[in-house]
Amino acid sequence: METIFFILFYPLVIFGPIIFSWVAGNMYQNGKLKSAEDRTNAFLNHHKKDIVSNLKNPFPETTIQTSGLVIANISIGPSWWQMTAGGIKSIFGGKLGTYERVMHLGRMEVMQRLREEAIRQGWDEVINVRLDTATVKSNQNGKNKSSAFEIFAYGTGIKKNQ
Amino acid sequence: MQAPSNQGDSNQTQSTVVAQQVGVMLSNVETIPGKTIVQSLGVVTGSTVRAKNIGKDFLAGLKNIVGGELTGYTELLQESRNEAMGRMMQECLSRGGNAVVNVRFATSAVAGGAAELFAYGTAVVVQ
Repeated sequence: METIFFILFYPLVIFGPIIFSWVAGNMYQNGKLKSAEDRTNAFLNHHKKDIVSNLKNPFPETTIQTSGLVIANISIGPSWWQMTAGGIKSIFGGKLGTYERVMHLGRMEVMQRLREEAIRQGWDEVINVRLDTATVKSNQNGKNKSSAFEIFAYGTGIKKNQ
Repeated sequence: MQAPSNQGDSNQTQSTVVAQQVGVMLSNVETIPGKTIVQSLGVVTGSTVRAKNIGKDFLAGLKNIVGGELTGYTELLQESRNEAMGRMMQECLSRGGNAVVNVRFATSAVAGGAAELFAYGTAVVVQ
């Protein structure tokens, strides 16, 4: 009886958190990604064009009334499952799909935040957008089970002369 | 400085509040669009080093189970960056400028659990 109990119990203790992280993390992140995509699409449909660009001058050329800095940031971390899968995959090299997903989610979200922030501050367009990525906390070869990146976007909001 | 229409909004970011209080215009292109630069006053910088507290660190660690956004860190970095920008604007004012152009940001992890947020740009006088 005891042996059966241990055979069932030990794998659960060892792999349980990872399996939970896989299932819950996938559900949570898919939801967030979908919401970011939906908001982006709704925004682009509403404004008929993307208001952010990384050109130095707005296109087409217009006279500008006022301007100001617009910033948006997000710090985002991979799930335990994604860290584990990435760690195993990085032994062999090649693309780390799990980390790609996290970075994609972060970029989608931060660009949408920049657009929303610009509209809230009353700007017509954002020019010269720059994106920055920094490691806030690394997971030191899996020693501490925690990791975070920061994705940061900034640009100059402009208000056109009507 | 002409403020855009809805800048009286209460939920605008802290950075805009600071910029309005101090009266320094910021942009990350070489000019302040719509204005002319009459004098350049050199590079101004502002930096701050912030560490996360244990509570936030612990909560972020828990959030790492499912991944996704770590709200505690997002807010902390935002506050720190606003402070760095505030210091940069103070330096600009002390040099007698009224705008900072070509603003750039840099982030580096200086010690375990601490990050330096750094903002720099060129202080100018615009008309």
